[in-house]
Amino acid sequence: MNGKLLIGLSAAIRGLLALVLMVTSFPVLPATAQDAAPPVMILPIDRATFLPGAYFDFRVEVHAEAMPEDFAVTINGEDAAAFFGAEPTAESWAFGDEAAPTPAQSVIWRQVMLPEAGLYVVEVTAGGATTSVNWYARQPQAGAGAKNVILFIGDGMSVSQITAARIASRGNTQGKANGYFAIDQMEAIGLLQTSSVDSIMADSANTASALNTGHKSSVNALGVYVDTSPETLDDPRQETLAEILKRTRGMSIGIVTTAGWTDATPAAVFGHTRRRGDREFLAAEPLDEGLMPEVIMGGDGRYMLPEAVAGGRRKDGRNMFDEYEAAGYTVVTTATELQNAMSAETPEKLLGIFNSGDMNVWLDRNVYTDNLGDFPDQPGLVDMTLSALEILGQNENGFYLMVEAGSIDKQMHPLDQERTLSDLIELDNAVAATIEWAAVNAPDTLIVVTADHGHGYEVYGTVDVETFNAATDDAGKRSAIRIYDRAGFPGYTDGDGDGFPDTWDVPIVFAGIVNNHPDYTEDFQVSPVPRVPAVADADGNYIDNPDDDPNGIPMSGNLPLSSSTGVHTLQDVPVFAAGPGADFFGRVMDNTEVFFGLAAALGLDPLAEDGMAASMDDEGACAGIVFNGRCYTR
Amino acid sequence: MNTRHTLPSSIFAIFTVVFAASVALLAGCGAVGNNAISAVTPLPPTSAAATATAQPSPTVTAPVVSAEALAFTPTPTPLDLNLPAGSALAAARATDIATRPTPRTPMTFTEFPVKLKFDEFYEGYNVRTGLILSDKLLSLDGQQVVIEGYMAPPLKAELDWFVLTRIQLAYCPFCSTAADWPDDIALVYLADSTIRPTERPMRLYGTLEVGPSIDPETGMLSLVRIYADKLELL
Repeated sequence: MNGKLLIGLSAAIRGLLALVLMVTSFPVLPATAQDAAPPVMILPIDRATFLPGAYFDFRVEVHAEAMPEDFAVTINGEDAAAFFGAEPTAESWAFGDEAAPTPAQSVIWRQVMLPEAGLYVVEVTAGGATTSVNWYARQPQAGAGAKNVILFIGDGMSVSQITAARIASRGNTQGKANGYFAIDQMEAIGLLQTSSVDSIMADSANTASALNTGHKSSVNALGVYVDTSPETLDDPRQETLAEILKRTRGMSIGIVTTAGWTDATPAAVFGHTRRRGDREFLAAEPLDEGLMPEVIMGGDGRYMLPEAVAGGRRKDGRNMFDEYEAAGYTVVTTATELQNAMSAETPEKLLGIFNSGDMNVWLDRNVYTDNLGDFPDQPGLVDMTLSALEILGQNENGFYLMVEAGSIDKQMHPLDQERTLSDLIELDNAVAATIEWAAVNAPDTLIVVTADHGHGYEVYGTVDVETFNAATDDAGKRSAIRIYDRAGFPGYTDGDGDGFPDTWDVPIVFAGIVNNHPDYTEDFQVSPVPRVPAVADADGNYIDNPDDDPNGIPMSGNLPLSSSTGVHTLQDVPVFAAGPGADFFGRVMDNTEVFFGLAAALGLDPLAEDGMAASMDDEGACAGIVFNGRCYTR
Repeated sequence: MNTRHTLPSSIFAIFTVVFAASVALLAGCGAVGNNAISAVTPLPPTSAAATATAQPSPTVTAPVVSAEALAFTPTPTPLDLNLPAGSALAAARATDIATRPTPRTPMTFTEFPVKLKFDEFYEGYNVRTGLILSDKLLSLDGQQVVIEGYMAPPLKAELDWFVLTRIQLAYCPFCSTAADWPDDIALVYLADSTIRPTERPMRLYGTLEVGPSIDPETGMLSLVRIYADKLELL
């Protein structure tokens, strides 16, 4: 037998093994033959990574009419109930096709933890077959000297948006930038992969959740691994960074967003549901479960009010404004009230809700103010961030603040270039203000800026607006698009130095476009009202909205007809970091690593008395090799 | 399964269900039910609302409840999908209320029906307390009105009640989840007639009722109701 054949054979065996593993680890089809082993599902998933002492729920599902008699769960060969020192709860349900539902038998351990760093082999025996996953508990790292961590999330922020916003904001002469953003100047930049448990694609729920928990999740899910049960609130939970830091170190928690505060990204700080639409639940969860973040700011008043109040959405009749107030929160609902609250004695806890839904974007708050409707007095992201820092900075144990520029995403969906880029500039202004605050008040602060997922926006030239608008046909409009050397430079200027173009309505604008969209028309120019590129026809299919960019170039859709706007894209997203522990972020990695980077900067060890990891030089602190202060384990 | 648990628990939730059903139902849309439909006629002139003299409500004799108290005094309005035609109206009327809201500055009207538009329902939003019901809406409680709008995608083929919306909901680009449904909607009860689903704009004449009304059995809630005497498709 020659070598080639040997290699071929072993590859075939490996392939077979891989096939067997796939079938047993990720069951999809119910067993058909009577003696076939039933599909088994183990959550947390294979290759899940933990901090020792961080809580999680452990669920095993067996898709069978009854739990097989030989059913057994072991961890590193030890019976799981003995390993965790607790008996699981048995549950069962049916799922899938209503006509032919799949029965599921399950056991779940709630709020368990892994006791030390290392590899954990989980084996489930059911119906004569054994399914196995590996878990890894990471060695807690001695801190990098960070007492506070701040995570800025530009929702849907992509490198190409940053490039465009930088040119619009700072200008570019003869190819060289006339200035850089604060994020551009940070110490480390890396790239994150954003894929989900159930898809290569992602939404803000599972990606923000990955940043906050160190675990992957599925599209639309927050702080849980998604099981098959129809109930949305019973899925096995992952403890969030905020929960661990409050529980083990008594740190303060802050949530600031320009979206509604129960929207996916901010809710990832505290939320546990497989359905991000459980907004009523999410608005009450931090209060009901005791996390009690010291700062909550954003929109979403509708989920605070009972539905019997016009504009309220709560079916449980609770008034969350009243409840948060009774729990010690100072409640404000306008920029003026926020200012007044902050100029009095600094509140211990602040709830700032400034809109019934998502807050309005920078461009509408500052330029097209007719669009503000009933909410003319909303604070900006810089003011909200600085107010949060002042409140959180009161805690000697430090704080974790999550700041989201939510409408980078919310305006990129409807393909609104100027509203997107303005909110990105506002995010950078908030980062700059935070760096300034930290330099004076708390140099022991790690600042991380990243995105949850990308959008397919790119600039490919410039547009001569006058020529474009004068053209009467498609060819004429397209001739107004200037590419390569003819593109030259756009006409944006920032005379008042606030970082924003004085106007987006200039003679030469970006030829900027999103690579996926419904049927719509594009004129590349700032819209005085937020864009609605497509509307549904009688069949529910999305077609060009005749009122949006009526003079634009018709763009043939490349999305399913049911898509009203653009969708998220697959690209790696950038992560920027400055401050103690920033070097962790200067690499290409999975988005779950952000959790571990924040934890490492803080020296978080949930099992230690004070939540503080020992120095790696201490006897027994590192189970592997210590090099340059870090512990390297297998 | 108990019917009670299969029904959505609020008027907002109902739309989600309704949307799923709408694709099938829309196939038959435009075809309309019986005698309530009359020829298209021009709208009556707008009532000279603010300048007019007082006119007592012709039908409502319930005790006066302040606008502030509205939020806390929901009363039952049966909304069972399986009720025979007309009985939802009868039940709703029988229990509809109790609430006779007090406008801050009462408006009076001389000519009836009074033309009411959806954008006149509210005059602002207080984040802490919710939408502020307009004086016009509050003053029209129990009065004859005429209003134009669209039928929200319905739950069944023959309806004696439905939800009236300002814009055609299939055309509401962000109305993809229950959470995003508009606030400016009204629940319509038809008198002695049923209608098939339609996507055409319509004009309704009838009595307006204002105030939250929750069915204790289904948990559905409405804030503005119209007991329609006449319906015109436009």
